[in-house]
Amino acid sequence: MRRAHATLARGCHLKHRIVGLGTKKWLLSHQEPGTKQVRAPSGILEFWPADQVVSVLAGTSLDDLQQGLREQGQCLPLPDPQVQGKCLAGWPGTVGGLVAANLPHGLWKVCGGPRDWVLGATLVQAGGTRAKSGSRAVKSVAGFDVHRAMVGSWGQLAVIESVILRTWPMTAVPTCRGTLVGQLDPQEAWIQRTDRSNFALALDRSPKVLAYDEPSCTIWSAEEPPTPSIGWLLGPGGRRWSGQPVHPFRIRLKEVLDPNGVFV
Amino acid sequence: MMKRMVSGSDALVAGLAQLLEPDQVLHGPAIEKAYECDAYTVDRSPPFAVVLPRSTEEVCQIVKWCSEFGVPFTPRGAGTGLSGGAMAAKGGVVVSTKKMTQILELDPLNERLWAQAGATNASLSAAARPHGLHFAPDPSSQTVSTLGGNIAENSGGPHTLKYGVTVQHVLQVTFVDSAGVAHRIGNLVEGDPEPDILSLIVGSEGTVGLVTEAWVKLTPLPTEVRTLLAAFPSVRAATETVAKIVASGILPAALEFMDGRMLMALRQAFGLSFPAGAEAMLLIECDGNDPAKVDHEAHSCESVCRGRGALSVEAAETSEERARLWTARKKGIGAMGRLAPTIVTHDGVIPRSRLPEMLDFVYEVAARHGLGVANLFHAGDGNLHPCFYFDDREPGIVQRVVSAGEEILARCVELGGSVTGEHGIGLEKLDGLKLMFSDDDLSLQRSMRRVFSTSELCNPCKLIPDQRGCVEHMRRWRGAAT
Ligand SMILES: Cc1cc2nc3c(=O)[nH]c(=O)nc-3n(C[C@H](O)[C@H](O)[C@H](O)COP(=O)(O)OP(=O)(O)OC[C@H]3O[C@@H](n4cnc5c(N)ncnc54)[C@H](O)[C@@H]3O)c2cc1C
Repeated sequence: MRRAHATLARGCHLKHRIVGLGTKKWLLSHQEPGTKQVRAPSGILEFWPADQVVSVLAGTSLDDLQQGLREQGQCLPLPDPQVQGKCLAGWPGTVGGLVAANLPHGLWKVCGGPRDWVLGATLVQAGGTRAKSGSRAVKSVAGFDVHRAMVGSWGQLAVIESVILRTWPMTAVPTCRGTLVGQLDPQEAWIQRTDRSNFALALDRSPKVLAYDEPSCTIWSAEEPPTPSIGWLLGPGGRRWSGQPVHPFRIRLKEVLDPNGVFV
Repeated sequence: MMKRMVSGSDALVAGLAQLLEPDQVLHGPAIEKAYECDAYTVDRSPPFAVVLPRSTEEVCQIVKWCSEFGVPFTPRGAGTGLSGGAMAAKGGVVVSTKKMTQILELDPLNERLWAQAGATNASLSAAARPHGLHFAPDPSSQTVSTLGGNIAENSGGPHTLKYGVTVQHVLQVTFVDSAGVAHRIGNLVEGDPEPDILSLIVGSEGTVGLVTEAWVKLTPLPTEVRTLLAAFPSVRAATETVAKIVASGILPAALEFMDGRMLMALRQAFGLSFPAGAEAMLLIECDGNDPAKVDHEAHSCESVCRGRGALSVEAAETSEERARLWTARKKGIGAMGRLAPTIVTHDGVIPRSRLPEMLDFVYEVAARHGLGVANLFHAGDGNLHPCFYFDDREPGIVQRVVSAGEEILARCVELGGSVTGEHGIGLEKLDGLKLMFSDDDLSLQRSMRRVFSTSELCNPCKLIPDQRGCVEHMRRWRGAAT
């Protein structure tokens, strides 16, 4: 496994899989033999507690980041996996994984998710070019928010090398109102989100529920539930349903950022 | 596609008239004058015609027609943009959403609303209010600015400190690309496990297509609101208070700043009175549903203010008093208009802890260029709006205002901030983007436009610097007001 920009030299056509700590591996499709792995470096680059902003390398584990932030009374508003369980904690792994997978968590309704926290990013594109978007200001409309387009990118577009995130004062984080039904540490889960009109029915119809969060209408279950009539569903092995076909702009975004299909 | 040629504005108007009703195609000298710029008045360029579609289908027809005949087109909402985004940089057609103002569906249970792009920001909240909900982004222009304009600019406002900017409140858009094809982008349920294309459309300043409709998120209205107005003997004391409130971990809903010159303008224009010796004021609002928590936050803010030497801290007890405390903030820009014939409001952002030194720098730059400046801005976000007031008949003064603005923006970037917090790049800040980004960064930016289209007809010369064919046009519209 090598560092992103060193591995992705210009003209490189080898297939690469961007990996973090592997905590969400079960949500990805099968990795073909011969695929190289690439990971982002780790470490907190700079933390400005007075501004509630941190710049962090994407390979940093969330554990390490949270610990660094806690020293100044701040955090990313995510439930504690030891207390609320992995599902409600959003299956924590690395910072890059947090952004790329954009998994729901038990504080979403009040605190939002990675799309709300990411202020900027440095990306390493297929071909090795490094480029950034955004800034460390908490508000900016300078150009396209490419860093936000990385949210939910599942390692398919570019290596997220580092991100700038908004942090939260620990005192401002509410208690998680999600409900843990199954075990604290399941191997894998089906994850679905729906809207309030459909939540009760979806919960009722979901087999072997592990956890649910009513405020954000999210359900984690050990077995495949029926697809929600509105919303989306994500399951082991890269199975996903969002009620709409893959949009041509999503295909186009992949073609523009990764024309040779290096990232798989 | 081979472009068919249409020559002359009459032929162009005749072509458009075949697509729409007569009252939907406007042209002629008065229209050219009315639509030659938006609220950024330094650069001006008239369109050939203005079209007023009523539906997504009509927008598709118009854009297909423009594409077929190689006619540039520029989306436009209320024209309150402050960076020239709605100016027809290469002439052509302005596509106005003036007749697309319907609220299509209100779904209070799921806290969402579906509206056409020309609906005003305020009309969304008005429709939601009976259900205890509102559309949280609240630009100061909200009574007139449109949903489409807010989406295109990713607008913010005083309360976006706590509630977030427009991108955080849009679920799905109906979007007409530059070939005239309509798409639905986004999901009614947030967080879907796909790359976030919607975040590229929000903030794209109308350069990749037109938003015709959107589903937006509605936010419950807080039951408890505490509003404070604190007066300070110096700008430093006020800006240090802001930095201290943010650093202490309190998250007010709004934290707005006004300086002494702004207070003077408000006194002169509207007869408002402020405590003697006030050189700066902070308007602080805390809200939520738990009265004890909101009280605690408001008291904490008040003690920070007093600890930093506030001359007075006035608290609103009723909604009428709250409205009164907001009056100064809301009337500020209007008051500036009475101080001098011309005002130019800049927009830059800095990390909030740097506010004290940054404000010192703004006054120093203004003094060095011999300019009057007043400040009224979203302090909690570090989003500055230095407002220069001057008489543009004075020789050389416009250039001095421009130079002062450039210095301020360069310092924002040096401090780790951004050249724009909410007004957008438009054509005003094309060079500013180069201060923030390297060539590789800019090429990433350019590539995002290619995701949506390779056509250069949709709102050309905006957002991305060094576009083909814009330099010659720029000579025509640059400084056209002077
Ligand atoms: C007094 C005043 C106060 C202001 N206060 C604030 C503030 O507090 N916060 C803030 O963020 N801004 C503020 N603004 C700036 C401005 O009001 C916002 O940018 C607003 O969102 C623009 O909306 P509009 O309908 O006027 O858009 P326009 O000015 O008409 O257009 C703005 C841009 O959006 C594009 N556009 C418009 N409609 C569409 C559409 N349907 N599809 C695609 N693109 C489209 C245009 O091409 C243009 O590039 C203020 C302006 C004024 C004059």
